[in-house]
Amino acid sequence: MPIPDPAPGEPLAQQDEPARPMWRLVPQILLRNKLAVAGLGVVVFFVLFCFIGPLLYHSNQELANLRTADLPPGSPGFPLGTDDVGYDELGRLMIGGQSALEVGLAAAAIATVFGSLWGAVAGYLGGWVDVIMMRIVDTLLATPGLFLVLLLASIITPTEGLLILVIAFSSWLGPARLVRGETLSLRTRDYVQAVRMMGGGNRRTILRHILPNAIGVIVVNTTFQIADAVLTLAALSFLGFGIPPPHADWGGMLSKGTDFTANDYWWMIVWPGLCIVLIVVAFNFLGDALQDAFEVRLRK
Amino acid sequence: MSIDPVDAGRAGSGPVLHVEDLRTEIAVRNGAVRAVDGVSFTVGRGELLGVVGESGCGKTMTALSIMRLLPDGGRIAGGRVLLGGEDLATLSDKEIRQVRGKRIGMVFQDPMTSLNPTIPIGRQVAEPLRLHTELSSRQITDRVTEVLELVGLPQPAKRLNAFPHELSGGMRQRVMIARALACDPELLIADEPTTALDVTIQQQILELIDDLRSRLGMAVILVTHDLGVIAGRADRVAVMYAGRIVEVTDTNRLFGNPRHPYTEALFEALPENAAKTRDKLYSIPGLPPDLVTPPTGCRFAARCRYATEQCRTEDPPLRGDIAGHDYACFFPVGDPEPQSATRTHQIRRHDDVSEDDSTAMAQQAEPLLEVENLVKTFPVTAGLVLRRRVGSVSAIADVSFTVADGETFGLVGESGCGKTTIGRSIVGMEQPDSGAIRIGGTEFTALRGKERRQRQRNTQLIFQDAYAALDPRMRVGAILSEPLAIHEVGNRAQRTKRVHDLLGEVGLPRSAADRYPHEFSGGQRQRIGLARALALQPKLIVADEPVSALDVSVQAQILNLMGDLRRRHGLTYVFISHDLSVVRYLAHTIGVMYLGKLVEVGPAKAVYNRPRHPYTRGLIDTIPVADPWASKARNDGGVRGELPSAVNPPSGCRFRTRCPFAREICAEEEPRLRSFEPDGHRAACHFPLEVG
Repeated sequence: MPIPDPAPGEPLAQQDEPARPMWRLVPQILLRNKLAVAGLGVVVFFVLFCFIGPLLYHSNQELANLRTADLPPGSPGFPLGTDDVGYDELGRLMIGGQSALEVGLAAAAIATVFGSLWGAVAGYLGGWVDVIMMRIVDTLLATPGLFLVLLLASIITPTEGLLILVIAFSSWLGPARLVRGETLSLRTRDYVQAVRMMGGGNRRTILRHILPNAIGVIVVNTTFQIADAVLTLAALSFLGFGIPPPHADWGGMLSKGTDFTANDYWWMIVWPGLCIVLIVVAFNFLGDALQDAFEVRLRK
Repeated sequence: MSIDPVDAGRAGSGPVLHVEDLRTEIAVRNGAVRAVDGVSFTVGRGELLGVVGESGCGKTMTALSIMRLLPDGGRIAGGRVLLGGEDLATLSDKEIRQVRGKRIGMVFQDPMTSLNPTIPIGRQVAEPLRLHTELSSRQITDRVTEVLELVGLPQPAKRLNAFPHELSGGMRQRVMIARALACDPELLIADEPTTALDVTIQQQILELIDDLRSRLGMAVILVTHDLGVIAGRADRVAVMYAGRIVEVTDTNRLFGNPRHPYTEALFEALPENAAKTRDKLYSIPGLPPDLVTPPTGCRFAARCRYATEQCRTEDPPLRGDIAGHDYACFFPVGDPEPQSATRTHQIRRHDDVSEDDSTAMAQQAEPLLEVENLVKTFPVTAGLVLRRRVGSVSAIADVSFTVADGETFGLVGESGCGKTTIGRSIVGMEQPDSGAIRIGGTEFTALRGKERRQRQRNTQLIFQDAYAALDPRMRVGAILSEPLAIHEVGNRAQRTKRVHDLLGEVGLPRSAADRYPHEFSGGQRQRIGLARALALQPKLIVADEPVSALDVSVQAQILNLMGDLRRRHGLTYVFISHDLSVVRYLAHTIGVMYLGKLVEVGPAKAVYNRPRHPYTRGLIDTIPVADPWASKARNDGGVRGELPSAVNPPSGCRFRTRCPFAREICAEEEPRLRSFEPDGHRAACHFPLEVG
């Protein structure tokens, strides 16, 4: 029996490129990008600030106390001042941020998972399925998102869970279109064809081959989705359709602050506004840098 | 050299280009790749210098260094590039721009991407004239028309406003050449100018370059990986390996008496040299060295079958016993060998060659694959939404053939002739419009769903681009066990064992299972592709151009492996290729396709030695052979013109538009496949060639 021609002396891997899977390579490239490090720093800061902060910094957020109302920043015991009913601004920012982060992450996760699946199925199956699925997306996209969310939020009494669903409902369209586009190009690749030829079904092809190879666009899009969800939540709360009081969140704080612009209580607007801007910008930096990082990998 | 090239250049009688000890480095993360390391050569007026070597040997970098068009991080680290006495390596960026396009013209590999799709070709050819001359726009138009005519573009005046997509690949390459010639350069550098083109077009482009250099007296550097391309064209040949020239001499001497073991190995790896005997091809073991830290001594030593201790420690100089034939080797092939150097890798003969043919004959009665009246047309649609059907491409038009169990059926033809569509139909990736495909007697085009998937286990496909066919996010182990998982073969442990067995079958170590596809070389990836195809123990493997993306030495490895696997597992191959020499080496039966039709089919030897169809004859005459005497002896044979569109194929015989023997009946009546010999040699032609 002839022995197969071995590939003698052939080194298994090209030595100059050691084995580096994407999950190691991408963070490496990411850390070389200063904006990404800044973005990541801000995100980590806010997570600590909102979830660990209240454990270390105790403040009154339950009882209205008019004696401590409207204090400017720097007042003893209230480093960032107080609001019109005497709640401490710093403590309130911490608690308000919790819902911003929770809703942002959860809504973005749901929107991304659902949207990616929707887009991948539509793009992979093609034909009439694609036409119908994408017309649904187009129709929803044509409806102003905030209007849709407001409509839903005004029909039902919002809780945090419901707000997550509502925001996710309006934001899965982006990933759906994006992933569909990616799928259209991926489905013609030889390795996808190879699975079909082996007799692999649609489910396997989409879950094992299409989505993992679209992971770049999906991850990048998720970061932008989080930023958008934080903004949407703030906007909803600002308009009074957020989680009802006594629950605190940044949009609601901002909204209340605007009532006192005439009184020069600037701190009631600046602190929540700053928080919203910072976290949104941070996630956007991260998204941009991730996009670059994935492209570097592709260039190789 | 006694004459100082600088003076010689000024005198106007010396070489057009004199490259001296050129060294080019490209900065990478872990150092600098010495892509060109001490290369010297000259090209004279009207001379065609061929530069050959496998990918990564520095031949393209040499060409780019002359033009100073190096990639990011690249720089000329030393040496001189004298063009008519002027050192291009020391010119400022502004000065070198005066040289590019004016004194040196360059033609790249892919005419599709090197022309701007948004600009009419007339303006693109005019660009160097606008940059380098003071001609008026009237004169420019005249000159553009003139050079387009020179390169053989039909009706050039009318085509000035044509866009690149309106031209065929061959015509685009002619436009590229016209642009390179617009300013009457002293030197033309053609970097793989025909690699992206079909073999019949390749022949025409090579002829054009050859013709132009004798008419215009240009110096030409032809860079290619294909020994056949330079054999009939080049005056002198430089063989490159690992950033150096290892052998340089005139063409006849190189092909007749190669002295460097690398050159010898390249010849031995060519399938056409073993086509008659079907001996195992010689394949060069290993990979070229890493040029960041090149080995001491001879760079080929690690892969050389004659290497001694001296080769590994001392660097052989480029010199020769006779003038005009230099090689960098201590133990040139043919010389009396020193004691320690023995030919360890004598080419192994295979004893079952004759048996091979006889089994194929014996089994002719038992067909494994039967393709009957297969028809496939692709609709041509217009408009994004309504998809109006505006025409159809006839990809396969009534094709029938049978493949006996255990034989290799070679399917050849130019691109667009429908051979890939046939392959995809056989493995079930394409649904034919009509006709039948039977495997082992069972018709399977009618099957659907699960039954069809089960049937597909018996037929597997190997892709041309092995890398594209492997999911980049999956480890090789997962890739190989996927077909097993799909068909629910065995449990996890059994699958892992099977993966290890498969890796062993194709000559890869077990550790390969934990690695990702991008960590492997081209040849290794094709091995993985083969292993995956074998996973379900199929009877029939359709291989669609499995070696055309590989270097000749790696190609030899894969062809040998495919042969071994066929014998060991009793496989049947349908081997699709545009390269008749590969098919001839491997196949027992050859089918020749032209524009969706099977025009000739029969035993490999009969088809190759006694072709009946003018197209087959033309194809055989067109393939570049690595034999300068043979290529020069062939006068003007080959298929002329271009492949007509398959949207409106010619009436009657589809080949008649390019056929030298076409008469009226060929346009009116479609020829049927007719038998010529009892061995199943058939051809579809009204005026078949006489065997003489």
